[in-house]
Amino acid sequence: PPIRKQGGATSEGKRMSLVSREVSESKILALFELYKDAEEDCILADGIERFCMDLEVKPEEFVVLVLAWKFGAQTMCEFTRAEFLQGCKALRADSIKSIQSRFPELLADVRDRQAFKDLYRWTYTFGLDSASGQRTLPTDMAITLWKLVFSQGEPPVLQRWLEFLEKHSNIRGIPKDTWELFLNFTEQVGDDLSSYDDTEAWPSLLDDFVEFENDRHNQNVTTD
Amino acid sequence: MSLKPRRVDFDATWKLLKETLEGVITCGAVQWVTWNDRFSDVYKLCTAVEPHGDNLYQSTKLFLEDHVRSLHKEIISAGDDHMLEMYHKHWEQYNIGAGYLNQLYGYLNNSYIKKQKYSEADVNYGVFPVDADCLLEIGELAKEIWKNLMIDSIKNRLVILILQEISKDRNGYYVNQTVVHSVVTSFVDVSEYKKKTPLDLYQEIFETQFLKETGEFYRHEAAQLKAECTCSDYLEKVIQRLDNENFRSRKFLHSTSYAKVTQEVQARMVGDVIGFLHGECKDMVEQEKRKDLRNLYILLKPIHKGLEVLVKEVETYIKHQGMQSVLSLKQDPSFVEAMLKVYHKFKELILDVFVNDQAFTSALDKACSSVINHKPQNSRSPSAPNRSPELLAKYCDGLLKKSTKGVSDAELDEKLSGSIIIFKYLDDKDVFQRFYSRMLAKRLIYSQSASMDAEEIMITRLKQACGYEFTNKLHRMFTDISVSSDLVVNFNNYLREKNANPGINFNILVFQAGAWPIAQQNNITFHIPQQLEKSVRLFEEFYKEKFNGRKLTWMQSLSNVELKLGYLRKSYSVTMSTFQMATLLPFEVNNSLPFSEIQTCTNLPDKELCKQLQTLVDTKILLCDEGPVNEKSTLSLNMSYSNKRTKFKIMAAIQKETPQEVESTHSAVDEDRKLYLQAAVVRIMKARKTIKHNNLIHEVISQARSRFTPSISMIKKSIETLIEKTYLERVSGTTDEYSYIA
Repeated sequence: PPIRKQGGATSEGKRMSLVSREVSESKILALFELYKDAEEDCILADGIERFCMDLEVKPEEFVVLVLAWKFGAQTMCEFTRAEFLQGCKALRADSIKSIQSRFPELLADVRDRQAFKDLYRWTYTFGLDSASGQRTLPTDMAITLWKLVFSQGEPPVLQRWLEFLEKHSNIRGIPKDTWELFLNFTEQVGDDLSSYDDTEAWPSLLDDFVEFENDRHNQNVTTD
Repeated sequence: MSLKPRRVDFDATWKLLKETLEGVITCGAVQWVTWNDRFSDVYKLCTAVEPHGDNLYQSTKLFLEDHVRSLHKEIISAGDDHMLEMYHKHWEQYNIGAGYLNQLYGYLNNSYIKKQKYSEADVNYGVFPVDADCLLEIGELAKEIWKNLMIDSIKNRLVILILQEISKDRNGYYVNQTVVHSVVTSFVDVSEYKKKTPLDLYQEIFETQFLKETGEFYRHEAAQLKAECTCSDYLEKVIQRLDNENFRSRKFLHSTSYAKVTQEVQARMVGDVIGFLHGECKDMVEQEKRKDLRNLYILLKPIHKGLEVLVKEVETYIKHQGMQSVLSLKQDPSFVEAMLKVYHKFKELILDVFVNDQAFTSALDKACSSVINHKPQNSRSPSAPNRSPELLAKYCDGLLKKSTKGVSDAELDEKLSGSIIIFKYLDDKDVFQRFYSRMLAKRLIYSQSASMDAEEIMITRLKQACGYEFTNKLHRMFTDISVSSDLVVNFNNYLREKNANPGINFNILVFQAGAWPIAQQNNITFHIPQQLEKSVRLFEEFYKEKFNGRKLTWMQSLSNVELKLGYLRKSYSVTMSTFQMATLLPFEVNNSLPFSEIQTCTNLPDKELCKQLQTLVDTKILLCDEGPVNEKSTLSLNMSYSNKRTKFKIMAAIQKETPQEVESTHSAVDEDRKLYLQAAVVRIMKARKTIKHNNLIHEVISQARSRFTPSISMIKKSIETLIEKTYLERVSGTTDEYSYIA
C-alpha cells in the first residue's frame, strides 16, 4: 500500500520493509554503478555532479540537501552504496525519473517543524569534513549551510547574523551547540532582539551577536 | 483555741471585725492581739457549722465600697489644685491597707475564694469570661472597688491634671514627682491582679493620650528648633531633649512607657525631619565633622532605614578620598601605602564616630574594594587589566628583598599585615598569586630574601586569608629549597665516598616542576662548558642513584657562577650568570673573537647570545668593535678593565623583570582561570548530574570568588568548551539545563 506521507525518522525501518517490495533493488544498484567512482565503492563529487545534472538540479540546491538528508548521507559529496540503496528504497524510487517525481513531496515534508529540526541538526554533521576528523564547523562553511538550510523560509535575523559572522573573522568555527541553539534562537526572538535575555543559557556567540546588534542600533539612534 | 467548727454568731463577730477593718484600711494602729483575734474570727466564720463565708465576703465588699465612696467625696472636694495630692495620699494609704486586709483575710482567700476561682489555665485559654462575677481575693477586691468607684469617675480630671503637671515639668517648673508618679502608677496597680491585661487601664486612660500630647509638644519643639538653629545645634539639642524626656519618663511613668516615649520623640524630632538631616549628611561627611556625625549617627540609628543616606555618603567620600590619593600612584607599588593610609584613617573614624557599626564598616570595605579594583576607563584599551595585584606583589617583594634600607622587624611585620589588608580587597587574587610566586621564586633562587622567617610569616598569612590551596605551591617552593640544601650535603658525601672531584665547588637547587612558575618550554639550552661538565655528570649520576626514575631538567638560564678574572692587573671575583660565563670562557685562549665563533662555542641562540654579550659589553669587561652587539660584531677582552671593588655582581640586568614577563603572567592567569572554571563546572556537574543554567553560573561564581571574580561570558565559554569536549550536554528538549556525561 502506498504511504503518502514521509514523516520523522522513527518509523523509517517499518516503512522500508513495506516499500521495498515495490522498487527494484537491482535497478537501484544499476543506477549506483552509473555514478560510482572508479576506485571506491561510493559516489564521489564527480559522480554527484553527474547525478544532479541528470536530476536537473544544481548540487547546491536545497532539494539536494534534503535528498542527502533522506539518504542519511554522513558526509558531503559522498554517497556510499548502502546510503544510496537505503535512500532510494525509502523514497520508493529506482530511476532518475522516479526520484525527480518525489521532489515536491520531499520539500513539503521538511515544512514540518520536527522534520526541519532533524534536517537542521543533521546538516551540521553533514558539513563536517569527517575525513580530517573535524569536529567544529568552520565559519565559512557554516554560513553557506545556514543560507542553504533556510532556503525555504528565512528567519528574520538570519541576514544580520551572517553579516555579524562575516565581519568577525576571528570567529573561526561554529560549535555544534551554537549551531543547534541558533534554531531555538530564531524561533524565540523572531525579529525582536530586545526580547533576548542574556542571563539565559544561550551560547556566548549569540550574546556577542545581540550585543553587537544593539550597539549598532544605539549608534544609529544617536547619530540620527 | 480549738480549730473545730462551731456555731458562730455572724453579726456579733462582724461588728468586731468591722472596727478592726477600719483601722487596717486606714493604716491605723491595730494591736497585735486584736489582729490575731480577728484573724481567727475570719477563720471561725468560714469554718462555722453554718459557714458564713459568703456573708463575710459580701459584708466586706459593702464596707470597702462605703470607705472608697467617702474618700472619693473628700478627693472631689479638694478641688483641682489639691486633687492629685489628695488622691495620692488616700491611694497610698488605701493600697497599703488593702495589702494588710488581704493578709487578715488569709483564710477566706485560701479556703473560700480560691475554690471558686478559675484556675490560671482557664484564664489563659479564655474558656471563661475573665472578669465575670467571680469572687476576688480581698486585696484584689479592694483594688477593683477603687477602680470602679474612684478612678472611673474622676479619671478624666486626673489625667488632665497629670498632663498639666508634666507639661509644667517640661517647661522647667517644680513638680511634685512623687505625687504624679503615684497617681500614674495607681492605674497599673489597681489592675495588676489581672494577669493577662494588667496594663489595659493604664494605656487606655493615660498612656495613649500622654503620647499624643508628647508628640504634639515635640513636633512644635522640632519646628521651632529647626527654625532657630543650625543643623549641628539641632542635633545637639535633640539629643538633649531625648535625654531629658527619658529622665522624665523615669520620674513619672510606668516602665513600659519609657521606650514608647523615646520612640515618639524620635519620630517627631528625627523621623519627621529626616529630609533636613539627610540633606546635611554630605557636608558633614566631607568636612569630617566628627561631633556632628556622631550625633547624627545616634539620632538616625533607631529610625528605620534612617542611616542609609549617611552610609552611602560615607562610602562615596571614602571612595573619593581613596581615588584621590591613589590616582597618581597607579603605576607604583607605593599605592599600597597610600591606600592603607586612607583605610586606617577611616577605620579609626568609623570606630570613633560610628562605634564600628557594621553598616559603616561594610561601606568602608565596599569603598576600598572599588578603589583597589578600579579599572581605568580608557577608550583605547577598554579592558586594560587592573594593576593592583601586580603592584601589591611588587610592594611585598620590596619588603621581603634584602635591601640597604634598615627596616626593623616590627616595622616589617606591620607593613606585611598592611599588605594583607589590601590583599583581602583584591578581586583578582589569582593574578596576585602569579606575580607573587614569580617574585618569590626569584628571591629564593638568587637568595635575595632578607629573612626566611618573614617569608614564611607572609605565606602563612596569605593562607589564613585565602586557604591552603592558594598557597600550596608557595609552600612547596619553600620545601624544595630546604630539601635542596640537604641534597647538597648528601652529594658532597657521595663525592667523598666515590673519591670524585668535580673540579669546582657547586651548589644546586632541585625543584618540582609543577610548583615553580618557571616556563620549561622557554628553557634555553647551550653547550655546557667543559669546566662544568664533570660536575653536571656527577650530579646526574648521584641523583639517578638516589631517585631512580626522576627526570632532571637543567635550568641553566637561572644559574649563576662566581668567576675569577686573572688576566687584569688586579684579580677580580665576579658573580655572573652561567650564560655570561659561557660566553666569556672562549676568551681564555683568545683575546678577540667574532660573534660567530662564540656562537659555535656556546651554541646559544643568536638573540640570547646578543643579550648576554651586550651585558658584558655594558659592564666593560668586553669591548665591541662598534655599536650594539649583533651577529657581525667582533668582541675583545678589555685588558685595561678596572673596578674599585674586587668582588661584584653583573647579572642584575638579566634578572630584571621585562614587560613580556608581565604580559605572560597575565596570559598565564587567563589560562589558569579557564582551567579553574572548567574544573569547577565539572565538579559541580559531577555532584549535581543535572542543573539549570543560572544555578550553575551562581555556583561557579561562589566557588571562584575567593580567587577571582569570573565574568559570566567566561563561565559560558567554559560550559561551551565542556559541551564540545562532551563532558556535558544540554538536557534534550530544553535550552537551559545541562546534564553531566559520566
